[in-house]
Amino acid sequence: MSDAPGTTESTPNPTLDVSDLPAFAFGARTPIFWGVVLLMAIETTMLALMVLSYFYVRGNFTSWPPTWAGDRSFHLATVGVALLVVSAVPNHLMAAAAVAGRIKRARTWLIVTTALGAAAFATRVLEFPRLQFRWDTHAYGSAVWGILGLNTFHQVTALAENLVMLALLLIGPVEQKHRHDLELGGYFWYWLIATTVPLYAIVYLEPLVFPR
Amino acid sequence: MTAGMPAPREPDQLREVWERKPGPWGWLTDVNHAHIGRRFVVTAFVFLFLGGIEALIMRIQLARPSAHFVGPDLYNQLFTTHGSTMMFLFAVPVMEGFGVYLVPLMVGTRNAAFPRLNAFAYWTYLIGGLLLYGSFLIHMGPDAGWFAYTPLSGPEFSPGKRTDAWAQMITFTELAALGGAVSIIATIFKQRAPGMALSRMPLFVWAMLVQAFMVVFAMPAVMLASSMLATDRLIGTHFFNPAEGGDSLLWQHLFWFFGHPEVYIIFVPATGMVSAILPAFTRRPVFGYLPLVLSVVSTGFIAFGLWVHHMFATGLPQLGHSFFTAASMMIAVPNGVQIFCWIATLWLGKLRFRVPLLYVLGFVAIFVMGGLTGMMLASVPLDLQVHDSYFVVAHFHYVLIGGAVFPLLGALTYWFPKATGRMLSERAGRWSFGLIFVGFNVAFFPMHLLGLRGMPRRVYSYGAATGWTRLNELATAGAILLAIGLLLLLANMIWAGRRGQRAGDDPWEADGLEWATSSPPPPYGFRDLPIVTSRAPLWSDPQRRARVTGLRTVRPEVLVTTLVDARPDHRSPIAGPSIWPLAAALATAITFIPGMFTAWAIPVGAVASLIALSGWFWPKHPNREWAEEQPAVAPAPESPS
Repeated sequence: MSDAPGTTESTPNPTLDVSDLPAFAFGARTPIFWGVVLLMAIETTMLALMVLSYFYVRGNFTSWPPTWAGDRSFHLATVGVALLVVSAVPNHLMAAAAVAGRIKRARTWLIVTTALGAAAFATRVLEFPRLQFRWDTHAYGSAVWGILGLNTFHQVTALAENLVMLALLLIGPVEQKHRHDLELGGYFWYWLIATTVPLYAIVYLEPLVFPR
Repeated sequence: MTAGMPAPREPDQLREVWERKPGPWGWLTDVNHAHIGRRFVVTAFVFLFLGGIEALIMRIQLARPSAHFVGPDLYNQLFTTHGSTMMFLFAVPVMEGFGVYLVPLMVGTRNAAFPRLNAFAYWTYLIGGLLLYGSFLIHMGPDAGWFAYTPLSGPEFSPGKRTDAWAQMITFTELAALGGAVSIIATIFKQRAPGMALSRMPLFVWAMLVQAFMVVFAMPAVMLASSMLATDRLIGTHFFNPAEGGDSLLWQHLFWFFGHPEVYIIFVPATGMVSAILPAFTRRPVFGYLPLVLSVVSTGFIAFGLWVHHMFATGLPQLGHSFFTAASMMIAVPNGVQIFCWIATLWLGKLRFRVPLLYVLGFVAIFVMGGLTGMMLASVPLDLQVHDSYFVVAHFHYVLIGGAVFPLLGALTYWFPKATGRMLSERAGRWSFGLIFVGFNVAFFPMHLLGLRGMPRRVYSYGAATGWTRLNELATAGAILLAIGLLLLLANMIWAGRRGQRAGDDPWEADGLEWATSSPPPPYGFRDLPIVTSRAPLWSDPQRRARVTGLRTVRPEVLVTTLVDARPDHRSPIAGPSIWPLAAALATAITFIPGMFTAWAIPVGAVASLIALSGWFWPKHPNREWAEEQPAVAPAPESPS
């Protein structure tokens, strides 16, 4: 389409009739897509600053970590991350089904994704008391609880979002725009996985690889 | 419904669909961008006056040596509340308010992209302001400065709940700013009128776009910092406690990583206002559209690389000094380009010396002076001499009042007719401008000298032997003049709101789309959305012949266009009036206000927030026309793709 469709210098009253345009869309075409992207940008910035704070306080320790976070929680944490990474597959299937209009299929895969996410959340719940320190033990403890706490907050938010979507799919009526909502929920779930993996690596693996 | 549908009974049907509900419930559930924007601006001006009263009290205390008008504890609360009010409760929200009001009109759409998010942002902002002032009134006002440095603001040196009130106020105001920013970006990206390619977007819209992105990347830093401070104080974390491996400087880094972009978050929309005002009073488009866009975008980026210049006195490595000095000086380049473009516009134009132009001229003079002292402060050797002195106070008031408040007052005068349908008094406006300009300079110029003569910031008094008395007296006299000028402006607004000369759609004969609708605008923005063929739509198509038809009028609906070229893409339903934004703001309040006293507020508030957000996103029962057009997607049986 030209820059000013339907308008030319010679047209006396140029109008553009948009009544035949669709009433919903997918992917990056919608305002809500950009809302979700911006939300991810905001939360990623917070996580990045939390991680930078972790490394900043590292400079104040002669031996790092004072106690490795993973002494009793490493296996749980690893299982949790693995569950989330695996959930990327049903998440993809869910989003693809939603975009294709196959609601029942999308619902099924949403249940699988959410179940895996809930299991990952359960490991996180068990992980916290198994850390070797509390948030008020030392600055390292504060930083680790801070990182894990923010990530847990995101896990809870994503799970809650999936559960609300699931309730909607079960109760209905499901509108065309909800297919796009499912697609966006899928993006958010990917983001959750994409942030959980490096945070796990920083808390549990970095002290093994770069101890002081 | 297809193109064969009967012509709607516009504009009655449009009005019915877009109007807010009647009565107090209608006020609480309103999501119209113009109403929300106006609320932001009015509330921000209330806080401006409160902050001004605090300033006047401080100036009265400082007018005489060893005065006892207020004691040191109250003085600490005054400068903290003054700074926090001006930065968090006035400057950012007022710019956000102008953005929320004007951007949808300027890009030619019916409402902002996320109407309920805008409403949520307003309620959250209001709650934050009430929290700060409520605390102040019960003698629990924060007193550790508007930037609350640790360890002073930590649990050891600031017992009680004063600093907790400050930290939680931050949460509210930053959530509000983020909400507004997300809505503005989505509106600008996806709802511009057909033909308004990015290269035809108004400069004010560019400025709001840059500002909104800056908010997205800067606000998380202060939210994180204030949350860390809150947890250090409430549950014993050690982020800022050196005894357990934490670091006081971490606070400064996190705060100023937000704090420096913050001042540009305030300044960048003001540059957009200047660019928006100039065409009407120079009768030509602004000179240098492309350099102005590039300048504002590069300012947005460079602003994130300057923050350590607030920390030159903390014992940084030499490389840090050099880098941040260079970066702080570098930002003068795009700012300078903007000033030159505006001067060129004035030089080449036919000037109409109405009040908005006077404020633009005042802005150029005062902001440039502030920018020059900024260059001085960017140099470490000089900064080390005047750090924490009144020289710095003078600098930032020159750049903030010159750079943001002057354009703002010009913008207020310029867009007052659009928002109210009446003109402000030109005569009272000139008097206001004169009093404000003279009063400001008499108040703040002496502070440069006071700083150079050694007067520190944030002292509640000083001895007569310092020799600072005369300049302080002068500054107080100027402050009183400035206050009178602002009060005159307030009186002008109140008077004109009732008795001012009626303004038509376009009293200034301006060029932007916001002047293509009535004053005040109808709840649906435009009767027909425009098609844009130039950067100055009203000057190139004054009869507004080119228009969009076919948007549904039975429900609130907007036209979504492509990001770069604004080609029509699809129609999108948009949220109507809703109570859920207020509910979500109250849930946030339940989380964070009791959260000053007990950590249990967090899980309780989280549940409340979950309920509010579920209500927000749960679909409303669609009406018949809607269901006819978009049949529900049946969950069973399986529909083939």
